[in-house]
Amino acid sequence: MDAGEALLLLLLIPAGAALAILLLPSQYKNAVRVIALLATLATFIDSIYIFALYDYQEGGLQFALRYVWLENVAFLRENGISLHLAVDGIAAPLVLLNGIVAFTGALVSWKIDYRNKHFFILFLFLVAGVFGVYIAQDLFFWFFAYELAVLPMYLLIVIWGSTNKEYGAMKLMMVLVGGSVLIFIGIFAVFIEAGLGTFDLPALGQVEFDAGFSKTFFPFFMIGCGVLAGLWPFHTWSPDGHVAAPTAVSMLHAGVLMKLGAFGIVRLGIELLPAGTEFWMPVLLVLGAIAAIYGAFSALHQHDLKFVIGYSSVSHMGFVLMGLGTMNTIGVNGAVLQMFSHGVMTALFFAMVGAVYDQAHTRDIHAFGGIIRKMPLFVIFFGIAGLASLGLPGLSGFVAEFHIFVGAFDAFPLFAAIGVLSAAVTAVYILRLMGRAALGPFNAKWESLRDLRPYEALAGATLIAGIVAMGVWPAPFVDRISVSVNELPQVEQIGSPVDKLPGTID
Amino acid sequence: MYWLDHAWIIPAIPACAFIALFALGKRLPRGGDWLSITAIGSGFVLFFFVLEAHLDSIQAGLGGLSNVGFNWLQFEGFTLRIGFTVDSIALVMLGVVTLVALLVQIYSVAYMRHHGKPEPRYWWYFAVHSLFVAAMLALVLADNLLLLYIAWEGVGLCSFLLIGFYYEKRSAVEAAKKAFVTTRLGDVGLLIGIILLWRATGSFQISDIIAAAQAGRTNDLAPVMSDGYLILATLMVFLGAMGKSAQFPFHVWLPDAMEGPTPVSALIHAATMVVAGVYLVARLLPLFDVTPGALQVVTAVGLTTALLAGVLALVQTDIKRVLAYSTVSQLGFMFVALGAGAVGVAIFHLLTHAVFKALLFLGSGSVIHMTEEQDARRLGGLWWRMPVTTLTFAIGALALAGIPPLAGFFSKDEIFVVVNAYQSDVVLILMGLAAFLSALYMARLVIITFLGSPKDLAMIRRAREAPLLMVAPLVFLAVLTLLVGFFAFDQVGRALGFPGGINYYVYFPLPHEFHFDDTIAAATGVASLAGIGAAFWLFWGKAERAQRLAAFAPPVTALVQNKFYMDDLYQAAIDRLVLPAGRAVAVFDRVVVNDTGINGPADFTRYGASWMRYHVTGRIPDYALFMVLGIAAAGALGFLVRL
Repeated sequence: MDAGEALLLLLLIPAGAALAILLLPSQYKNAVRVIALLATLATFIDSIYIFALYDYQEGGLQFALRYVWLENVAFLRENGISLHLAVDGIAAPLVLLNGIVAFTGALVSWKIDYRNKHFFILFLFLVAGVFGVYIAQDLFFWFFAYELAVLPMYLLIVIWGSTNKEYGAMKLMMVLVGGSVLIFIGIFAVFIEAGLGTFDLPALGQVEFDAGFSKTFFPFFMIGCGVLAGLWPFHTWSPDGHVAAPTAVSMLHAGVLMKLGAFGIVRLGIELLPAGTEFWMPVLLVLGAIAAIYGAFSALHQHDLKFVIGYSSVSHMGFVLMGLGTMNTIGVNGAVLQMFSHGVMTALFFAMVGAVYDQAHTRDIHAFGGIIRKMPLFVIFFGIAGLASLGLPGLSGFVAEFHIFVGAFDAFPLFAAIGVLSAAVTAVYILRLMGRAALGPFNAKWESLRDLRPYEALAGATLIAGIVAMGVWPAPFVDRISVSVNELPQVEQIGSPVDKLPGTID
Repeated sequence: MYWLDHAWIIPAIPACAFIALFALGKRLPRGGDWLSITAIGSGFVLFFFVLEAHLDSIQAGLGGLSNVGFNWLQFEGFTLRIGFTVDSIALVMLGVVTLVALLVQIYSVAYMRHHGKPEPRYWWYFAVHSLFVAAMLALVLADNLLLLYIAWEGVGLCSFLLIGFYYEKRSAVEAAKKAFVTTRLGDVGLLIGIILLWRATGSFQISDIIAAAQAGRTNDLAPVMSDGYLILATLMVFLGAMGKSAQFPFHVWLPDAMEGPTPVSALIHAATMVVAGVYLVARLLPLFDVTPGALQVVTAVGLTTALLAGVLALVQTDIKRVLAYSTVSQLGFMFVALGAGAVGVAIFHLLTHAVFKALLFLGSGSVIHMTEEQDARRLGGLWWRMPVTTLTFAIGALALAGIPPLAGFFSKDEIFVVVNAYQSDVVLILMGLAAFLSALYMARLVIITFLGSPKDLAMIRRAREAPLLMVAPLVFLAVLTLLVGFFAFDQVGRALGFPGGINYYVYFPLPHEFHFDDTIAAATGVASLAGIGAAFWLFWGKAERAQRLAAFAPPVTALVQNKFYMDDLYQAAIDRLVLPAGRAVAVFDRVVVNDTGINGPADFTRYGASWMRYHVTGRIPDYALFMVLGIAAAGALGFLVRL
């Protein structure tokens, strides 16, 4: 597997497209759209290629790419910085996720007219940044990509957003940068403590850090990255950010950006600081369980569509953190599955909300009623997202949540039960939302609504394909994820019946 | 034996039909109803192939079991398997589901039309029907709890979609939501139970779990699970069964589910989906058997439900709601049979109940379709306008009441036999009371709907006998109702190629020969006749006696008419507990977490900055002052440190 250029393309295509758009005069709006769409389509195809060709028999880091000449540049050499790209089985599905969400996000942004040139430049940088986080194997570039993914959010929300956008954007930025500061401190602490003079992640992963050091600095990664993953109680930037953000940005925000946080906990926390992981993971599990039930109850009370989904995201990301917190193979597998599942599902939610908001200019559940008469396709798509969200078997959410619950029951039965219960509360708020807004007597006010436009339908169908694929045939995902999860330090293997049967369980 | 290993094809066919209908149902001629009917019809035909293969296998001494499957996903230490099995219980269910589904679908072709024109979303109705049948059959054939749970949720989804079929009606949407959420609450228990059992045994295979639970209780090994653990896990699984089979206190969703089209009620909410809970417990009965106290819980829940629902059925005026409460009550009977450890008996009652309850629902559908009225108070005197419907409905009602030689008599009698053998007399007497109630409410329904004089002349003028496509399934089911009870006899079973009667065939733990207890048969017969007699005495004509009885104890009447206030209790719990909890969390999130926790530091920074700003005046004397103060402070500090 020496096709590392495929990884480089993930960064070069969006960056190159952003450059091309930059050079275009801003009145060529359609050209801008076409370039952005083609670029995201190309990365989508590239991400499928990477996902498909990741050899799960072999496992480990693949598609590795390292430019030696680059390492000899004075500044980089002196500081031990290298351009080292590679994916493992955990990153592979997330790369695919970003490919899907970026492409569908560009599709639903077709209708953006106001300064669409600048919108797509920022959008493409964001996409490149997210890819960078998944594939970078060098802490310096990892952090660079992480910031590149976060910073465009501010402008995207402030310029193209709606409802209370200055507040939402500022809060998002401040909280996330606050998290970044913690990560930054953590990275330098690791760099210095290791004393290798390199930022290379695999090299740092070999170092056995002192247990005290691990325990002290693990929270920097856990909280710093956790903030981005909606870690309770640092989650409120997320619903407010969603409400303020334009459709495609909400999709990326919930679909991939929040996953960066959870991914960061795996990459930096679990892989670098195993001793700290062991010490702090129960805390993460408890906070995850709190977020799961807390987000679900909060969503129950909301009547803005985006707030419902925003809190639902908090709840579902709580499952991810819970899964990581179990520290056993099944739970961590479930956490990564849930990252993918939640990514496509929420992207679908926000794409659909955007489709109706652009016409109705309201997102109040009670203002609608029976709109299935005018927008049947919208309701079907939204309904599928809803069913995935409440964990219906056959769709992606079930596979992921099932793993998480199984893992959590093995580790912490009480909190696992809370998780199962919050999945039931999810059913209540999703069905309440559907029953109010989509079904029931038709509200004549909405006579003018039109169903999804073709490009919105295409975006929706693409996302649904992801949801159904994982729900019906999860093996390709699990094959890749499990091989890398098994390599994680401190992740305990459970579940083989042989060592279980002799003893009594109570 | 080919079909024994390929029984999975039976659910696969309607699943494919669903995909086709979902993708192009609207464009197919006749909304694709033919596709759905063909799919299910071929399933019914294939059932006989599977049956034959099964019986051959039994005769060859191979036990008639099959076990095929594949690994759905797998990594070290964890395997999720999709596997199918055919055993005697599954086979009975297979027959029931395919037969009733086929008849209901044929019936629906006529029912889902008004004046010859298909209803809106006709194609969608058949699409979801196909999906339902596929999921139900997968549930029946599952050899492991994972696939069972997947199918379990699948049938729940179809039930939701079909209850909410008329989604323009607020009440239908609410009923669909209620059904889904209530059963989902039980499913929380089921999922926890499944995972707990996995945690102890490392397997989702039903056979492995049963073996592990029995280990240490039926042999000298150390037990795999402690008693407490086993009780918890088993009762959690039972919660799921209670939710699905609408057992007290989860029964509230089923009467509301009558908002769906009537054929749906016949198929899903009478004959198939609601018996999934009974099926689950039957399948896991060895587990319940070794769990201390589990069978007592099953009996208690079943008995309570049988009695309470029987009482509630007495005061309902909507035909379908009477039948719904009657279903709840009969499901209670099945759980009582399971509580006595008699799987064969429970499955026998499941079979007969599926036949006569489907008949009753389809009969009520024929009334509703032709008169567009389902309030029994405005019906009456229909017998001379709809003779076939009346006759078949009466046969179904008599079967439910337990009049020999109809199906219900034999299966109910068997339940009394096992209750008499294994349970205390109190249970027997209460069951007798429940049987009396069944006869009473069914006779009441027949009297006020079909007999007597018409209460609404416009209605009676509208009423005609239903079209052939609706009448034919009724007649077929009525004939079955007359016949199916004889499956109890070993001679009949052997004549049909089975090893014996149904109780002998669907055995656990030992083959159970049918034995006809004259005393019990006479007693239940008397209870049934007394119920029917009491119904005539109370409700014939203007039903003055019933009114006087109701006026005799107004608080009791109010209690019953308000369904023991169960719905109000749930509503209050939602309004007073769940929604306020949501509000409290949301407010806490805004005020404490966000406005204080997140905005607080921001505000602190802002106010701190504006306070600091006043000291940046730009005037040299001010700066000189601060410098002097600073030097003085530094000096003071140095002085202190030196000390």
